[in-house]
Parts: sequence; structure tokens; C-alpha cells
Amino acid sequence: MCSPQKSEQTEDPAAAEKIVNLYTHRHYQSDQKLFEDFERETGIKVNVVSASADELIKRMEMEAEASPADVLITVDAGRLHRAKEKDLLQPIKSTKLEANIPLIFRDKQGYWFGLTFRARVIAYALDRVNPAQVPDYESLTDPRWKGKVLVRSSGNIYNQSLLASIIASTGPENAKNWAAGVVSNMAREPKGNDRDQVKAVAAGVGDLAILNTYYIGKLLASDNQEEVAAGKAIGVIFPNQNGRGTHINVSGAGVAKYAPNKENAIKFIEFLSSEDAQRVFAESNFEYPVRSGTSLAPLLDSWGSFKADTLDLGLLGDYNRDAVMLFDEVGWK
Amino acid sequence: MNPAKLLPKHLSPVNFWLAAAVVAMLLMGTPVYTILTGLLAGPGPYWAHLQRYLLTDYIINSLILVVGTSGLALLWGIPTAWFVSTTRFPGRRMLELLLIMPLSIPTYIMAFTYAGIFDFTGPLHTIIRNIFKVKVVHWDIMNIYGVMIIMSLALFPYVYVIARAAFLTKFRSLIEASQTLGASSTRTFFQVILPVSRPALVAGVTLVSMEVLNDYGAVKYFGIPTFTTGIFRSWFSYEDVQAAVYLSSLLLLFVFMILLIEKRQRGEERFYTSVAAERPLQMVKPNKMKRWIVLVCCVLPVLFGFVIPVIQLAWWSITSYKSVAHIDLFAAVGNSFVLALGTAISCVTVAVLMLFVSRMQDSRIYNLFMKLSTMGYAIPGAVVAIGVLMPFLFIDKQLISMFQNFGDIDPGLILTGTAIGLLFALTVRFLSVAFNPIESGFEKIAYSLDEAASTLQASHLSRLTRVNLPLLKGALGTAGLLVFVDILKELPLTLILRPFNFNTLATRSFELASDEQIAAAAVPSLIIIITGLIPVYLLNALITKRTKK
Repeated sequence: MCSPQKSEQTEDPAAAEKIVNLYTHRHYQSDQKLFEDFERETGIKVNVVSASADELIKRMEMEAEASPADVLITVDAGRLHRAKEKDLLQPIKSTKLEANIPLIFRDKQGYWFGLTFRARVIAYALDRVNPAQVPDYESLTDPRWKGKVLVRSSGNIYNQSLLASIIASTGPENAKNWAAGVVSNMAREPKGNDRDQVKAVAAGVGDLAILNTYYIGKLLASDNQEEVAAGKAIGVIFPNQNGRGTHINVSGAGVAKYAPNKENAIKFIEFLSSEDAQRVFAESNFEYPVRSGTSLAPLLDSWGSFKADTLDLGLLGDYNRDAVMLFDEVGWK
Repeated sequence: MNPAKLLPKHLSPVNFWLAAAVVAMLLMGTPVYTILTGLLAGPGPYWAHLQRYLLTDYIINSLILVVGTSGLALLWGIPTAWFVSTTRFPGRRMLELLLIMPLSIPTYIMAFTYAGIFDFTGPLHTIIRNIFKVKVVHWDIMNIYGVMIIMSLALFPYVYVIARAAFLTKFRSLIEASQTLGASSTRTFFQVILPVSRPALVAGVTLVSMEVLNDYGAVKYFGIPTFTTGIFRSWFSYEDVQAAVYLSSLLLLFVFMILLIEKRQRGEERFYTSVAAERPLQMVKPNKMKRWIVLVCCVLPVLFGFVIPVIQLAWWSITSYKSVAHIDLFAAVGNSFVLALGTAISCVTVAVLMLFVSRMQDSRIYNLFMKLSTMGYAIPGAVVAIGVLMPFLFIDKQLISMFQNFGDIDPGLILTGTAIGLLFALTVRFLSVAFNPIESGFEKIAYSLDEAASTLQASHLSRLTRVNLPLLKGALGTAGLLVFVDILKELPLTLILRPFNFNTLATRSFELASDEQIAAAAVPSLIIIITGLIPVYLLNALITKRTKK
């Protein structure tokens, strides 16, 4: 039923099996299609285990040199950075990857490469909020928005990375004040997923919600007309355009330190950074492609370009724990 | 005093049986022992932080959820079990079966579904908004009380099944005596049955409590911090394994207390019947008014625990089946089925082995370790997964170096890279589900039968297969079916430990749901429920058959 997918380690790379073993946190439909395309193009079969990045990293850590994993894919740069710190990835030198992926979206030493990025934005009720009053994340703590702010729980990695980015750019003291300010403005206890925050804005529970861009796209593309209506009732603010820029995070991949099929792994990541693959990411999952020049989904296009925070994404991993502890201290559940 | 102590010396099990049982116990207890020994290592660097900011919330929320859910589960489970067992009313036969059906719906799917129904863009609000043109306040069920009610609806069949089996078999004579003395049905229930059925109720509540404690999906989505949340937070966010272990052991302590209560409650209950009186129970036929009340009481839990969520899931499936067309659901059905069957068989086998030896061993220490090794049920699946990975990877790595020394071959990860590791972990986790019915099954077999067999010089094996197992048939069936349904629903363990390209219905449904595609997740969810109906149907047949020979 399921034999271990591991190639025999021989000296001759030509004898290597035509497979690549993938540990991934992404389970989007579009990915499945890309894997099939890759198989068709190269004859290399993609084997997949998907679970949360934390669990996959733990599994790789325990498997150590016996690990069958070739590639680790996460939806958060912080987790890739953590895998690198734990010595689970290896640096890759690939002119293709360096040409396709701008430096801010990849690890400087080649341990991991961003494939798509997403912005954590503020959605506002079109009929109740003047977006000019919410220019940045910091304005969410303005007492004017008491009982109006919606956001999911602090267990969520996107929130953790957002706070980590604030720690990295403004220091822990300011970051703590920010988190405390958001908590005191919350419309309700944090719960649900990103889409639920938009729905709560539509329902009038609150006026402002923090969420990732692609969820708005998915809401607008929903089969349920009520969800589409909820998506249309909100506008999108890209915060901090006059300062450090909007917080972004990448979904990306790294080659495992003990990858049995290293060459295939590199080929695979190169394929995901190719023009065609990048277009699939952009079109079907409303993510921003990292490769410049790739056309965006019409919705993303309609929001126009924005200034992204150019913070070293590895710092999201470095400050992750501090961020979670700050959340606990200020009572952000 | 336990009659086993009266057994002559030569009846004590030969070493082979004891050795096999001890090995099984040690293996099954791996995660529990790992956690308990972790206690010695101290609380870890982030424990102080956790204690200061989070622990109170975890304890209070977990306690509220356990008590509240159990209470509600009793409320849905006991009266319904009583009515379908003793009262004639229209639709009784059908409801008897329908009342078990919520068991086939995974708790987290029930939670997602109800959240969807009460959602602002869900059917309830949409209808009120668009048809009645009323602007309503957002009715939010995503809070601790919502979780409590939803979990109780998904879990009450545990109470129902156990209570019903008790009403139909053990208490028949009591019920009939009470009826003969002219007591009304209500009076019989409150004054005769409720007091004596306490042990059965506690057994049901124990299962419900453990399910509540290990839930992760529902509480996470609803934003309720519990022990499970805390374990993951310490483990992954703080990377403080010791704090996670400390929390897990607190959780185990909690469970141990529940089990102790169960044990005490069951202490006096010892029915040694070798031949059960198998006659159908006399049914009461109440007046019309009462019949209606009974009917409504039995219909409501079915309506909210099964019909409504299934309709919602079916509706979502219709609207979104296209978006799952690319997924090979047939393979997922096959994998789910094989995994559930395999785990059911292995859980039942291990439970029988451990209990058979305990029956003759009757050592306090043996029994304590036996209980410990079944506590894996309350530990969150992800923790069990890692607890199992550790020893298995060790063996795997030894195997690899052995192979390499001999023939320069790399066999890969033989245990953890295949379904073997997964099957083992699932057995560890769900042993308790099989253990409880088989344990009470064994308790009902008179020791005199074992004694007779051994006087006839029967071997241990033939005593097991020719005396005990035939009398345990019902219990084995119940145990196997309960495990089967549980594995169909199982998520975290399968997710982490599965080999490459191995998908089950539950992992498919989770992947879609965590991608916030709840509607698409309905398709695999619905298939889980439909597949689960088969064992649920058999379970009902088993319970009723035992009384209707």
C-alpha cells in the first residue's frame, strides 16, 4: 500500500530514482495541478505528505539523516527560518532561482526561497469607515475604534509573524503596546479564521478586520452569493504606505539537508519559480507571485501596487517566540 | 474480594501469556510513560510564563467543557435510551438506530458545520435577512457554550449506547420487578434505574470527557484556549518540550481522576452471569399525550445531532462538488476503510490479551500499568504521534545501519515511513475505546467457568478461545465497531504519521477546511458520515440482538 519512498543512495546521480519527496504545509488545489505539470514535464514523480509546518519540522528533526524528505514547503517565512536554524535545510546555489526570485523573498544564503507572498491587510466596512483614518497598523489602537477591531486568535501564524515584524521594526516595548491596544479595541474575543473576520464586518460586529489578501479573493470567488456580498461590503487598506510598508510574508520552499534526491528537489523548486507556475499561483489562489513581471489576478490588479515592508523575513522566525509571549502577556487569546 | 484470588495456583498464567501482555502494555503505554517520566525533568524554562498568563484559562475552560459537555450528553443520552428501551411510541424502532448516528460525525466537522449554519452568510441569517427582511443582530455561537452544546450533540451516543445496553440486559429484572409492583415508568426510572445505572453512566461520561479533552479542531476554531491549545503552544511556539510535557501530565492527572471516579463507581457493580435471561423487555404503552412528549424527546437530539448538520453538509456538497473533482476520493475511502479495520482488529486483540492475563493475574501492579497504558486516549493525537515516533525512529535507524553494514542497501524508514507506524500509533491512542466494553464483557463472565475449564485441563489458549471469547462476542463487536468509527474520524495522528501520498477522508476534509474551503470540505465529510453509518448500524443490531434472540 505504501512503501517508503526513498531512493537508494548511490554515487551515480543518473541512477537516482525519478522522484521528489515533499513535506508541505500548503494544500491548495492549485498546487496539485502544479505537481502534475511538473511530473509531465520532467518525469519526476512528486510524493507528498502534508501537515502543519511545525509538525513536519518536528518530524524532519527526529528523522534526521534518515529523513526521506527532499523539500519542505511552508506558508510562513518564520517557519522556514526556523527549519534553517535547526539545521534541517541546505544552502542551494541556483542561477535560475536567483534570477527568478528577488532577494527580499529568499534567504541570503540560499537555504530557502519564497514562491508567493501575501500581504496582511486591514479590511474596513465600506459604509462606516473612512479609510484615511486607518493609515497604518498602529492606528488600530486608536480609542476611536474601541469595540470595532476583528482579528483571529494569536495561535495563528500570520498574526504571530505580523507581531514579530512589529517587534523587529519598532522594538518589543512598542510592539507590546500595540498588541495591548488592539486587544482593548477588539469587537469580540478572537475566533474563527480570516474569512470569518470579513463576515463579521459585514454582519456589523466590528468595522475593521486584519486578514491576508488572498482570503478576500476566495470570498469573492465563492459559490455562496452571500459570501460574495460580504466580500463586496469591505474595502482593503494596505497599511503603513508612508512608513515601513505593509507586512508581507512568503510561502516558500527549502531543500532538506539530507535530501536523498537533491537534484530533483532543486529542479522542483526551480519549476515552481518558473513563469507558468507563478501564473498558476497568482491566478488560482490569489497570491502575489514572487517573480516580477508575472501578471496578477484581476482582483489583486485592481488594488494596484503597494509598498511592502522590506524587513528581512528571517527575522519573523527570530522574533516568533517573543511575539507569542507578548500576545499572552496582553491577553490576546 | 476478587474471585480470581480464589483460583488455585496452577491457574496463574504461564509466562508466555504474561510476557506477551507486559510487552503489549509497555508498547501501548509509550506516550504515557514518556510524558510521566518527563515530569522528572522539571517544568521547563517557559513554565513560569505559562502559569502566569495562561494556565488558569486552560484549567477553567477545560473543566467547564468537560463538566458541561458531559452533563448535556447525559441529558440527551439517558432519557432517550430509557424511552426506546421501555416505551412504545411511533417511530421507536427507527429512532433507536438514529440516536446512535451522530457518532459518525467527527466533532470538528460538527463544529465547522454549526458555525456555518449560524454564520452571517449561512442559511439561518440569510433567510431571516432576505425573506423576513429583518435586520438581526449577529447571533454568534462561537463561544465556549456553543462548543459545549455542539460537542454534546456529537458525543452523547456514547452515553446512549452504554445506557441502552445496560437497560436492555442488566436491569431488565429490576425494571420488570418495579413494574410488577405497580410503579409507574417515571418512578421506576428515577427511583430504581437511575441509581443502579450510575456505573454505566459514568463509563459513558468517561469516554465523552476524554474526547472533549483531546479535541483540538473545534476549540481552536472557536477560539477557546484549553489544555490542548496550551500543549501545542508550549511545544511549537515556545519550543519548550518540557512545558508541553508538564501540561500533558497535568492533563493525564485530570484523566486519572476521572478514571478513579469511574472505578469507584463501578466498584460495587459485579454481575457474574453465565447465562443471561434473554427475553424481550415488557414495553409500556403510555397515553397519547405522553407518547408525543416521548417522541419529541427522542427526535430532538437526532434532529440537532444528525439531521440538521447532514442537511447542511449535503447542501454544501451540492454547491461545491466541482471543486473537489480533482481529488481522488475513492482512494481516500479505501485508505480510511483499511486503516479503520486494521486498527479495530489490533485494538481488540491487544485489549483481549491484556484483560485475559489480568483475569488470572489479578495483581494490583499489573492492573495499574494496564490502566496507565490505556490512557493514551486522552492525550492529544499530535502528542501521541511524537511519542510514538521517538522509539520507532530509533528502531528504524538501527535497521538502516544494520542493512548498510550487511549489504550496503538503504531500506528507508521501514516502520515510520510506512503505514505500520501509523497503525501502531492509532492502536495506542484508541486502545481505551476497545478496552472498556471488553473489560465489562470479561467482568460479566463468571469465574466458575474458567475454573471448570481448568479442572478439565484446558490450556490457556483453549480457555480463551473456547470459553471466554464466545461469551465476549458482543463486547468484541461493540469494541471493534466503536474503534472503527473513531478511526474514520481520526485526524491529527494520521495527518502527521502518514506515509507519502496516503490520504484518508479525514485528512482530505481537514485540508480543505483549513484552507477555509468549508463547503468543499463537506464532500469528504459527508462520505465519512455515510461510511460510518455501516458500523453504527451494526452496533445497533448488536445491542438489540443480544436481547431479542
